[in-house]
Amino acid sequence: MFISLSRKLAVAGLLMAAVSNVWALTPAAGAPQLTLYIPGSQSNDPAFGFMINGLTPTNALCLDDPTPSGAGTTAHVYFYTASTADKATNDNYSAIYCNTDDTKIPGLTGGTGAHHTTRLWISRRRLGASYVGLDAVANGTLLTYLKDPTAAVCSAFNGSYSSSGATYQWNYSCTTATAGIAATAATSDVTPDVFRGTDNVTPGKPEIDATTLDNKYALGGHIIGTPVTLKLRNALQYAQIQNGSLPASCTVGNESAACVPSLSKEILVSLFSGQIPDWSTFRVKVGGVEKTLPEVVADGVTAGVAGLSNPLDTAVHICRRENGAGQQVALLASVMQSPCLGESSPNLAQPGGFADVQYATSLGAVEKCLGDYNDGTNGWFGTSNPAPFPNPPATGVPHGNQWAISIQTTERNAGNTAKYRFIKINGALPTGEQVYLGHYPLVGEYAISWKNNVNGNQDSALNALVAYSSLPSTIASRNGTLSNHSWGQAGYIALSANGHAPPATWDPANPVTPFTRSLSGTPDACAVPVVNPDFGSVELR
Amino acid sequence: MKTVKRQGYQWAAAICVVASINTAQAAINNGGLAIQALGSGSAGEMFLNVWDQAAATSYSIDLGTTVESFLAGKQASTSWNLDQRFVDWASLTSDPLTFNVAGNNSYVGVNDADFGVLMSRRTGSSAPGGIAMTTLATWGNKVMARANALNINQDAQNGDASNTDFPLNLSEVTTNNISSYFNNTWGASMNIAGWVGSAVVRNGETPDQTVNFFFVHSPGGAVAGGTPAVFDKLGGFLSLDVANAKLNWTSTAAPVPVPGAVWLFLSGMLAVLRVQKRSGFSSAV
Repeated sequence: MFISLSRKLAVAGLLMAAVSNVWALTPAAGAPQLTLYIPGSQSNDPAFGFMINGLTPTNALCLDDPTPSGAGTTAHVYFYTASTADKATNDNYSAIYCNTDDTKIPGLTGGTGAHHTTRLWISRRRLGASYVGLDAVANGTLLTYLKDPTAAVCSAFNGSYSSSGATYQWNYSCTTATAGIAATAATSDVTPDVFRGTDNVTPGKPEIDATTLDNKYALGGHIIGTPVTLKLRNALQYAQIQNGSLPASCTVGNESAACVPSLSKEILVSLFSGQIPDWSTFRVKVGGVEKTLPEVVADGVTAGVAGLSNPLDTAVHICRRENGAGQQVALLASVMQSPCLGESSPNLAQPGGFADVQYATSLGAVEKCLGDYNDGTNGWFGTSNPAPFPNPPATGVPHGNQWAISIQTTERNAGNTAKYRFIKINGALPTGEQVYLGHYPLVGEYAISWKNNVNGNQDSALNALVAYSSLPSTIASRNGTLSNHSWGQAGYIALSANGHAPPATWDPANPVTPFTRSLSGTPDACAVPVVNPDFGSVELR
Repeated sequence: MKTVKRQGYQWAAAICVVASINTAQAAINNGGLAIQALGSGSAGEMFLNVWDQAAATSYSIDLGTTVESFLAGKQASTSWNLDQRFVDWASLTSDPLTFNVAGNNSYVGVNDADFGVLMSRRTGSSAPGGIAMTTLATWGNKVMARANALNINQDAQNGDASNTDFPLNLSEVTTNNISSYFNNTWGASMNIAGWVGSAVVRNGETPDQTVNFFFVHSPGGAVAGGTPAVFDKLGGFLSLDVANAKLNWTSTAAPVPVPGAVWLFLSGMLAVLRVQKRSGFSSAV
């Protein structure tokens, strides 16, 4: 018995020693010397050093990049799992444990050696909308995180999690999240000044008073889209080919830039506010004859046009996000001008009106909601939402072949594998180029915010993160395959308000918009973007 | 049958209103569908908002009366006694005070004539313009959102109260850094552009203003998004008696001869009971 136990201990020790030799910084290496708890939007996740498709696109703070094998690096990625090690994901809690020093974090103190080498634990929480993160910092709400490499009870496991066409690699699976932890800083899809008003605040929670956030920085522009179900895209495409809005050379199903259908900003406001509850509202003149959109589609179905089908009903179906979800907040501020116009601001439609309004409470839920309305599947129907948001309809509710619209990051569905497609707004594609030209309006300035109650090293780390994250080169490196659509490069764009000169004409290698919402020196999500006078040039196109 | 049953409920509710009108105080039922965020799927309650603009504080209270029960008993003049919190707050306020009253009742669905909002509008202001049913739905959302905001802060000010415990009737005093403060996403216009929703009282030499009550609602039946909503201006006005801590509804409808109505009601009830007895209490549905 004793011998057996000794052997087991010896084997475990050898294994740990082996891991320690190859994996230079393990949980056993000691407690973190610098810890950042950062809840909120995933918009700036690559800058923390997380891996996407086996690589680290950008890395602001760690001395090394993590690797899928975990070997040859001092940086490792930790994911939370509610079951077995292989089931870990970054949906709720994740972290990076790495070494850093004052070459990465200017002003860093303590640690060891001439450069103050320090063990850094960055604990991220995606769970909840942008509002949840801001509420944690602005109002002091305590949340749950992976507390540290030891308390999180982690085991070495190299895994890869697949989500919406991308894979996310991790090196440790952790089973324990700890409640009651104060946030260091929060990331949000939009700057914190606009998280007020009914639609932008979680029901039951207070508004965000941005003036209480001592440090708030817009890091870059996040290009957000208004996806429609695939069959609705085809319907719009066919109707706009028929009435001459799209080139006659386009065919239904064509995914090229020239053939992407468009809706105007005013029409989007009408749809999302519930003022257009039926697709029959749209009239199309074809060959001098006025018809409704469903009638035009019916004609196409009769004519045997591939890709078209008559909808189950003509109601407008909306997969809206929960109150306070950052990308929806961006739509509200940039397109609906809500709550920016006060009592003149339109509100988002809610259940109980004329449109079919449903709550999809994550990026994945949006994808599934649109998929179910398109195909009649049950990826989202029959599931449940977190309180107080109403649940999706039951699986028994007839659905499928219905025309739905939503809000989604353009970092999804670049491969056109999901049953939805992005559309143009006012004829402009959701690309960096169209944002640069001032044509595409739906851009959220993603941000990081914190109070002055953080310690000196935390403050230094966050400032280093801001400086690195907002670099045009950092943002250009993020615009990879995840957001490279058949119609162009979407994703992110750098801000000239951060002191980066925009190119005189569009340059995807230096994606800086000449437009700014920070004329007064502070981010203002309600501001209509204007040409930044600090640089004084804009491409005329 | 449904209509008869509903009317019976309304009569009963009207009697209850008269009996319990002075016991106002609760987590406000926002009158939204149960499937809406924080919606209860039952009749929405009316709430009062009062604003001291100069001192930047406001007071609100759940009046404990549902939109449906108020409409059923609107011919009777009634009063709500406000609570000690109002008395304490009012004693510290500056002049003037601005007030409005609202309630949402959208839980019944757009095809029901009871789908709508009850909103105050300053006596003597111009007649409101027409709106489509899609817009009425957004008005209901605005009133519902206000009720939600008040409930959230009432929770904070009233200990263990739950913001979905509708039998509770609560009040609150807020300052301008709180989301439920009068002028945060609500205001004198009740968050509806152009709506003259409020009256001003205790305004020096100027006589106290009052407000009329509009029930803006669905015409009922198979309505579409573009169907015009119905504006019912109720016969009467609301006045805020700050000194006596009362909100008064003064009905200008023709007075109903109460004894006659009671006799008619009782004789009707007796007739119904007699019919039911003969038929062994069976009822066709």
